[in-house]
Amino acid sequence: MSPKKKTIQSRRTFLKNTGCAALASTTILSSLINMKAIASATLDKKEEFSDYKALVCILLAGGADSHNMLIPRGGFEYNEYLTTRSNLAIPQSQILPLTHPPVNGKLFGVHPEMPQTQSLFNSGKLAWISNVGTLIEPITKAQYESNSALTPLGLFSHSDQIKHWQTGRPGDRSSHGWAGRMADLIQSQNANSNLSMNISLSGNNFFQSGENATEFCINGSRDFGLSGYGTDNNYHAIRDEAINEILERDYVDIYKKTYINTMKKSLEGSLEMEEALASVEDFNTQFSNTDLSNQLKMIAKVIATREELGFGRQTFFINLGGWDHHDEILESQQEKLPILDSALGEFMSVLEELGVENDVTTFTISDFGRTLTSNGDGSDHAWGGNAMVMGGAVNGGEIFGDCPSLELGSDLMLPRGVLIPTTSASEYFAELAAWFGVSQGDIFEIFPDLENFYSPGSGYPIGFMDPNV
Amino acid sequence: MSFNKFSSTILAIFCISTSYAQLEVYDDYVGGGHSQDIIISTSSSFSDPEWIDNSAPIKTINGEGLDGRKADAARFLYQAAFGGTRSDIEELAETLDFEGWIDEQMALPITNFLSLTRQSYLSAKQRHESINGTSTEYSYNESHFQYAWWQAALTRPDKLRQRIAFALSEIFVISTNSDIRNDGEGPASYYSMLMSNAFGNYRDLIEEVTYHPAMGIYLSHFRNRATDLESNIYPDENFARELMQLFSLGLFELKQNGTLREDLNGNPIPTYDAEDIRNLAKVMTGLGAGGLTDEAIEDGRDLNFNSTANILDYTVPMVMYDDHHEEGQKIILGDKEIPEGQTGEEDIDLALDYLFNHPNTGPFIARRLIQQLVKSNPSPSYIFDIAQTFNDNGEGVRGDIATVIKEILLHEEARACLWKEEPSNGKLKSPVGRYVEVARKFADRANTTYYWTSGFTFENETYQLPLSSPTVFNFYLPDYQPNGDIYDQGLYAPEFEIHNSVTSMGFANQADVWARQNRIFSIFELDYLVPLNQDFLLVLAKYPELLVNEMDNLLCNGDMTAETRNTIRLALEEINFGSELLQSRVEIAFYLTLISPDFAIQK
Repeated sequence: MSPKKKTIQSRRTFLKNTGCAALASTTILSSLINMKAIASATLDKKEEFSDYKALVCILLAGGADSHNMLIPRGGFEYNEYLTTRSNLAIPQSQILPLTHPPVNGKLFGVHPEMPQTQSLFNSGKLAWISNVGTLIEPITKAQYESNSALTPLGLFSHSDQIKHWQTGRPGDRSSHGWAGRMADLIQSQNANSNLSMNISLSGNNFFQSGENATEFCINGSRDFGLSGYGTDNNYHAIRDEAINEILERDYVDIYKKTYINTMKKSLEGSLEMEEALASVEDFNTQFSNTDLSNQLKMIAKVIATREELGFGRQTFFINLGGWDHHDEILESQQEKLPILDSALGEFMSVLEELGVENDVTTFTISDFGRTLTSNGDGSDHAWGGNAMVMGGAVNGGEIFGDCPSLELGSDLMLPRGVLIPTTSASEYFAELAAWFGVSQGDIFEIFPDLENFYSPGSGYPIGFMDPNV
Repeated sequence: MSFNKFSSTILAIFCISTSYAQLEVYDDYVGGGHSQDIIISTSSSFSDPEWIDNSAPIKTINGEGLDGRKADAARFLYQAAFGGTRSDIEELAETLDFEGWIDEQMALPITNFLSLTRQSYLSAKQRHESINGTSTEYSYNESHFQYAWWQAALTRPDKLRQRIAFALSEIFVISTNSDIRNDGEGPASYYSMLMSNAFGNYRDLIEEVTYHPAMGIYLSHFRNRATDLESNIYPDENFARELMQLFSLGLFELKQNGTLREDLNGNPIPTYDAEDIRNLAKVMTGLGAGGLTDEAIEDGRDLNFNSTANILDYTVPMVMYDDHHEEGQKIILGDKEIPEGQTGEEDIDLALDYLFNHPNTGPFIARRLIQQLVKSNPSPSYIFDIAQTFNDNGEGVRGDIATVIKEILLHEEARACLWKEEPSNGKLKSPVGRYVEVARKFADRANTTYYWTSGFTFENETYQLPLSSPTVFNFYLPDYQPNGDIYDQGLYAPEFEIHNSVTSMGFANQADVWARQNRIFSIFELDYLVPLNQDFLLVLAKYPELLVNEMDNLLCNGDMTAETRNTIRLALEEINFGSELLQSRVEIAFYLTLISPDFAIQK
């Protein structure tokens, strides 16, 4: 890719140069961007964000077996776990202990391959949410068995559950995620009106796609934009002009229009982001050479450009695949968890380096929890599971939600060791959205089932976020 | 319904290139649409009463008659085969006998992906050793399957079969992004199985899918055991679930036209529940390795239920070890009984029969195949017609894939030009489809033996490569709805799930590599490079209009809009400098066509 870019101006540069001369030398495409910049700079009287907050969502795709990530370690609760999990149980002596106030009298630790998570938790920077899952309304085992309470559509199916975990609306098959809906409501308060509030490191996803908002996709370690675009010679000047014409044209055909809209926004956004990223200095924090670490490093770089690009709110999305462990679960988790674990430690460290540790909250989601019972050497699709939240604004060092019995006969246990969730994913998300600055009214709009779990005005739904940070 | 009934009408509906730009004065050449003030009296005005399109002097001047036929052939060939070579198009344009073409294709010998993959490995190894010496390691891996895949796409005549196998690979998904052993055998033998069933019966297909070890490992029913209550160990539900959700029924009951059935409250009706999954999982117990690798046999390893994935022979179907098969009665789909006392194979047979005969399977598979080949939003009547063909091929046979494919491609909704004008008609071509189309038409065939790529860069840039889906849900979902008009109109567009700010730029950057670095395939470590064949384009490049016209015919089925043509032609006219003038024009025409929506969208 050519190092020299066409004269697309960042918004800041543009505002310094507002005038016809500044527009005269630019391409049609860049003029178009500048016209938008004029519009947002002069016509729109919206109130812009005065602070910065970002949510980083890590999707453990496939349905992570989180019952082997957060593990009961006290004598009684470990024995329940061991009996139920059978040949999938982690030996008690290998569990890394967490220091926390007992929950229902129980003590927990983390998987032996999660030492960073252990230390982040013990230093108050990370919290666990226990037995959280998609729910429309609270449900008991008897209600489940008699079909007398609503359950999420397509329960236990990957394609539905992975969607519900991103939309927070398990009662419908909406493809619009809660970050997308947030963006629909508040992204106009970002000074930057060209680039989406929602940035994905893993391509298109439900989480960040709204009615109007579309996620902007980037890669962990890659050049941006079109090769050769903006190269200073006749050949490229001619080609670029033709590219701009093709991208700017209105198409009647809906497929052509959709295809070109994406390309146009991609080119505009890539040029703008690449210019901003060029000024980001190297971090002191060392990152592992994994896709996940590279992606989180790229997120840190984008966060570092927040002022230059004019962002008060951003969400980031990473899809970390490979957690559908029907098979060889013990070996697979031993390989995958260190990748997640070190990446979390590195990311927290770079956020501290940038001084934004209180402004960025990272959280995990997954398709569903897995069965507590074994299928031989793996586990199957289930329901409730455990999630992690990390950041300076998190009430770390605590386990939130209920930590129910893992005994097979328990009153929350369905056949095959499927645990009925006791905390709704919508409460989990609503709390993150509230911290992010979404108004309470909008939150109930985004999560239509939330009212079945949480009454307006009663503080944060779960309490894992600190409203004062 | 028989396809013969309407095939004659189809042939009569003939697409005409739009004429344009008749108001300006041109003096460049005859045949590019510049017809005013030109009088011609030699062409006959032949008129066939059955044909909408007829020869006429004006069309001779504009070259429309010929281009129209080519465009029609090119359009069909993209739907049926990711496009043909230039000579494929010319040949088919002569007759436009699509049914005849399908029949010929179906009769061709089947490309064997297993032996092609092994050959690719052996030749690549030889090449590697001739460059690096024999002491260096060269390992057999899934890249050699990719080599074979692209080699077949570029050199093997059974293009329709390859296209259908690819469509099946996006429905009955396995992926090398998984625990499938890291050599070429798993993907190659699985793909061979899809190839041999591409024109077979769906019932045989799901059986071979069920017993294939690559699927067994991918969806983990390989070495799936009977319930062990004492240890709280239960059968793995993975394959059972996806077999119903993705390979046969889908989540909800369908009408034969593919729309959802509803209960009294207007809600969709689930096709199965958790209990059905648990019971089908029990059916899918007891399958283990059917053969071992040569090395494992030499090492004296025993073949039994406990033989692990790392030593199994992917080319031998899994076999039933009844000792590990769950005994007892199983009820699936609410009321379908699988009686106790059967062998494991009998259990599986019966379960597959139930799924095969379920009323959902026809419309479910029909919609998926139409979406693969023709359009993202088939009308209910199109789905209905194809589902009926699935239910009965006209000779009382259910599940005849060959007839289903034939009817999908010859159906009025796929063929008639009127449908091209319908706003929801069409689809975004998948990145792999676009790559195949370009390679077939433009790869230099003069000095090439191997049309190989590992696809690694292409996958990074476009998020797609054969048998490399991120999950069993394929690269894109059938119900994906991109924001904007498509969502607003309640329409679907699966391929847009991988069209975003990375991949839209990524595909264009691949086109840039092809055009400016003049290589359509390359394996650097083997020093193999396949350049573009630009000779025929360089000849045209003197006349921008001719060059654009060729791009339109080859890549846009004659549907390039006047605006796009204009943009490209003006750019080419501006390139009037330098010693590489014609070369630059070819590169730019090629690149701009490939990024244009007229190429990317299949109408």
